[in-house]
Amino acid sequence: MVAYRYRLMFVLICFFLLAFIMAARLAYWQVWPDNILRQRPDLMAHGATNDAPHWRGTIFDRNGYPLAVDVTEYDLDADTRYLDPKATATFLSPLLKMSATDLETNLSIKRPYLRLARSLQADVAQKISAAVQSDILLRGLHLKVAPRRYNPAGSLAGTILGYVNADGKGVYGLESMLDDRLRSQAGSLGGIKLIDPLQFVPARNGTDIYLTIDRVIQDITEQVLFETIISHKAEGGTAIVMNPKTGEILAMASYPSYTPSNFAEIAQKNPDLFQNPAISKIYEPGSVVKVVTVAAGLDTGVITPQSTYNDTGSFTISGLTIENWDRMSHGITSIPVMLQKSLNLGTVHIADYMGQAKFYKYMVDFGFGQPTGVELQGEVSGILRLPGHPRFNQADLYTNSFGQGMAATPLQVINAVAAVANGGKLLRPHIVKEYRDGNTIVAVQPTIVRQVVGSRVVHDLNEMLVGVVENEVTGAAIPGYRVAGKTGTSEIPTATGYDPRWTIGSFVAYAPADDPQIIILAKIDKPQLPLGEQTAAPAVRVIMKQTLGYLGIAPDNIRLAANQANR
Amino acid sequence: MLRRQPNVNLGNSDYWLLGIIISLLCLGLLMVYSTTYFFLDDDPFYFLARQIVWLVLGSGPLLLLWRLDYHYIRRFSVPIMAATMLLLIVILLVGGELHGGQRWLLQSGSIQPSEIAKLAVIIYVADWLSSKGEQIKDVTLGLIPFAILIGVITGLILLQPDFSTSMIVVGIAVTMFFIAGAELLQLGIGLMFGGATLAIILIQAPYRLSRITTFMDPLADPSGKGYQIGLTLQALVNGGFAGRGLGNSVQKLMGLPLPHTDSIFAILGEELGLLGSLMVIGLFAALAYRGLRIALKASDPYGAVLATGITCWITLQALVNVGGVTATIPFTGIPLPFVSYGGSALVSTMAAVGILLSISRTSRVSAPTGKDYASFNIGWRYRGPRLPRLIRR
Repeated sequence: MVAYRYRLMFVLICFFLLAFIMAARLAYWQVWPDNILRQRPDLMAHGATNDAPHWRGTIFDRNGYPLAVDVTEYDLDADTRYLDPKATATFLSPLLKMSATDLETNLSIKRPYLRLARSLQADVAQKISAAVQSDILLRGLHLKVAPRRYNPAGSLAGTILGYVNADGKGVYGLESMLDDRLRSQAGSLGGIKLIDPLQFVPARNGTDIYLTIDRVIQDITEQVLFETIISHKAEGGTAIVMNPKTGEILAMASYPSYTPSNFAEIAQKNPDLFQNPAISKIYEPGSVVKVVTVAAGLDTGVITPQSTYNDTGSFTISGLTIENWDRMSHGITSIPVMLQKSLNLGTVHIADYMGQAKFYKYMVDFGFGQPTGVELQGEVSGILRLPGHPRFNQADLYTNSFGQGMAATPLQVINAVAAVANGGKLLRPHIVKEYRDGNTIVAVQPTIVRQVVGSRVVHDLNEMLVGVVENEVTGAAIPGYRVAGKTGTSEIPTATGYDPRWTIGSFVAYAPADDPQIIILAKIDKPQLPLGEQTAAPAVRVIMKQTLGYLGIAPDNIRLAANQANR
Repeated sequence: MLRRQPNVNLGNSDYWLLGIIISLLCLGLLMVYSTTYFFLDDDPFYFLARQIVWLVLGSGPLLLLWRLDYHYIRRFSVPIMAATMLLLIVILLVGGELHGGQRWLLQSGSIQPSEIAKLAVIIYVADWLSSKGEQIKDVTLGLIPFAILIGVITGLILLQPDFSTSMIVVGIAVTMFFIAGAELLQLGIGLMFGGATLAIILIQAPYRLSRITTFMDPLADPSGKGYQIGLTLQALVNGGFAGRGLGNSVQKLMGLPLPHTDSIFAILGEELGLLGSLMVIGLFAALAYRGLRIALKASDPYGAVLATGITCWITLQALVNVGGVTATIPFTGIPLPFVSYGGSALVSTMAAVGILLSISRTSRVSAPTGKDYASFNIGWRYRGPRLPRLIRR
């Protein structure tokens, strides 16, 4: 008798246990943040679309040349309830290059939806479409327009653009960063009454994006960069062209680079290529930072353009001896000459006069150690250890003053120098010029982050940087234009100190010096020749010369004369 | 024949159970409307109206059987079973083909004979088991005849083909056998044979096997075999904790098949969220508790076994439906009792609830103590429980 009661209780406990399992399963699907469907929403993405095709936004260059567009391909679905499996399999087998018996087995199971093929070209789709209309046995076949991403310019600007995967999701680059805007949306089904006042919503195309990139300048930049890297047997490199007055990125090239449409192959072989080195790869910027140090020195008043210092050839601080790159002492040296000869001891003295607080205020103000905020995916902050950082060292102040012991992205470096070219105003660099959604055009305005240094300082510094090109880095000079620039030769830090064999040569320049229109940075990784002025400076000169010509910026004398005449 | 009893005492009935059923029915009407109003452009109430008609039709048997002494049913258990068998055979021969099965007798109506068969089986098996008494432990008198009986009924349903219903019938029958006092060793051996038979049946029909492989990894082929379960799970995911709100399901508009019957629970989960779906689970758990409590307090072994069978039927069906929707077990075409749209299923489950209420009405009032269990003697030959024979008809 007791057992009877126990048997009932046993059954009840079994039921409760099963109910608990169901509750747990429900919780898994409904609220568990990490279930399969939440991890992979693309798996069921087709469940939320209707048949109307919708197009991802096109990415154009600044002049309206398409860089990434959707082209038409077709998906083939079947409602197997309304077709004859044998006839359909026989018909489709040669077109889809699938075995007829496999197809027939698949088609024999009655179901409202079966994806038969993806990405069919128009000719195949037309054959299927014609056959379905004439043959009642194939009635259950449905063709659906399936856009696929295509890059008309091939590999041009590939690293900037990123790619779109088979599920229509942008991965890497702008395609990923601006995926929300670019992505099109399926409409909700019409002709259905809803309690919710949701009405028929047509499919929506994605927003078109006009970049600040100029296809021609991008092409020039890529070619010059690639040629430079190949001829110097370098490992890689980056070049950026910007408009210092607006923060617009006109070109951004990196080597090695890739063609977005080959993404599947690259993802398998070398997924590191998907990173954009211009914003994701940091390096020790080296002497280019001297521009910032001198600007800070002038702005705080610890130096003037007429200041001099006694270059003794070495400086020792907390056990670390700092020397000039040529290991020589230069005696009484003026600031312009210090910049021209790129003497480390000069900036060490300036940093010493200023002290930690002021020096690092300027470093931060110039944008080091923080992302620039450009609309590109994967931007990193670089490394700038501020006083108070657990690994901050007394010597950091002195090494940082000439760009060692810190790291920055190429974009941070060019943007910091662009602030000097732009009258001391640091801008947020941007790569999107306009968002065009139908007739709505939203133009991206230049954003001033802050006034870093006064215009007086900028004027003096400008002259000093012109002096660098005129007197020292003559390989960067362009006849007819006054070019301002600064080289950098960086050593490559390794786990055991600096790499003795390789360097990174870089050069930043802007022109025309009196009214800067273009600023260019080139950075060549591990070239055969060690110095920035030997590798990067000639590359910058070629890009600069061609770009000035392409943009129709007249040589200084003509331009200034015209200005004079207008006045 | 069925004289109306003038002084029926309903006061002892399990009103908790009635409350649970009414809650589920109301929820069902709400969800049936929400999942069908968009089917026909000119008549949003078409399906709701039909469901209400079926509900009214089901209330008749419920009220009648509630008031009726459930022992009356016992008199007809053999004719009921015979008629059901006949019906199943007739359908096998002439039944219309719909949804790849012969389950539906009439295409326009929604009468599924296997729904009626389940109730008939329960009534008959309860009679059979409780009449065996101590003999149930005898292999030749208990297990073997029982196995043959269930085998024949299940076989007929399997031939429809309706695999899931036949599995539920086996589950109900085995639970009833267990409660009626089956010898555990015999039950174990019987289940082993049953399992072997099941494996053979599965291998024979490829689509069943594919359902099981789909179940192993429901999202491996989201556009093919896993299509329906994928949409169902997406509905649950869309629902989240609080749901999208009544009527706001997206999945029902996106081609989720059978949103008003087999998949109604997924839409409920999408519109009412985890809160709503757990409420339904809670209601069915409460139903199981009340039903088995009625079985425990039943005045005689027949009532006890019958109440167990009915409770087990409703609970198992709910578990199989929810289990399918949540991809816990392979998805099958089993409706959610009281909630899903459907005629014969609703009427037969409501009739069954009427029987349950009738059993509760005549249950023993006092709390069960050892002595109250005089009717469940321990047989002297076996150290197990047995149900003594009551008056043989």
